[in-house]
Amino acid sequence: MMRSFPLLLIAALGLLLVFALGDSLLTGTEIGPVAQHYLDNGVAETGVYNLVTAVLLDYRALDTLLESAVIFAAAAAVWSLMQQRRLPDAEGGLSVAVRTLIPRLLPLLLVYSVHLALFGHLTPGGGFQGGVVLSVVSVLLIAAFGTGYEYRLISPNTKSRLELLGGGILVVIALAPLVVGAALLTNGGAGFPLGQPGSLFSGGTIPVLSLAIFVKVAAAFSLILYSLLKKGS
Amino acid sequence: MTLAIILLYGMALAAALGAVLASQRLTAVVLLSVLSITLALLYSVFHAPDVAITEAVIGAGVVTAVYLITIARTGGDTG
Repeated sequence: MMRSFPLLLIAALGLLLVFALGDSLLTGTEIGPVAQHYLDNGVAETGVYNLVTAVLLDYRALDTLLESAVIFAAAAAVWSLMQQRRLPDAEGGLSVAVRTLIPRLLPLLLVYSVHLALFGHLTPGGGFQGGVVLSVVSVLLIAAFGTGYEYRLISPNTKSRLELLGGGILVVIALAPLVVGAALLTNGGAGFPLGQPGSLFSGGTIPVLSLAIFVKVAAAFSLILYSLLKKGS
Repeated sequence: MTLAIILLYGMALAAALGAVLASQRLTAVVLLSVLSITLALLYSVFHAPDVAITEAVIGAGVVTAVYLITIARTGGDTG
């Protein structure tokens, strides 16, 4: 009985999904008027080719701002619950195989995370994905060398300051358009230079927001995971 | 292309069922990670690379890490 209930639940939800979405799962669906506007005018209005980033960091940037507020609250909650005035665990680390493999893997992940954040307005990706990859790097460091090594590399206090820095940049950029009378988080409409679409310095505030979110998300996630991993909490 | 999509749907279904039916927690966690990668492949087939990257990074990276930490902190894999 205990085994069959989740199975039945999955089957029912699966059938519901198939009936609700029908053949749009296989053949796609029609584009609504708002999406059509983004497709037609997105590049001209925001100066970036990656329209997903244009929606996330320009048209619906307010949602992104509040999302990062949620992450901030989560990190603050975990950190205040798990914080203890105790020296970090110095030893630790896994087998020789892990300690040999991970240092060779980390440079790739580091480059990938920075690439995701820096080129989020040109290619798929963005500050959030880049930040999460960077926090996975810190988890891998802990897995290979123990929490003490990661603590000495970048301490939790530094992480919380970095998160504040990222959040502060977000808020300043969000409030800046109010000075010229534009709405919160306005990009091109508030006079930020949009540049040539497709170049690295384009899209007005979008790359700056992306980098701020990168720093903030990386710091918050690695702070949360470090708090869960360290001994004695 | 349709064949690839159906194949990926089948893999996702198999991974999800396996995760529910697995007798060991570690197996279930690994199968959930497989499910995330399969979904990420599906998203990229559907021309949504941004969603695919997010799914791979969150689903296979961070969520797996959180599950593994929880299993380790709550007394290991005792079923």
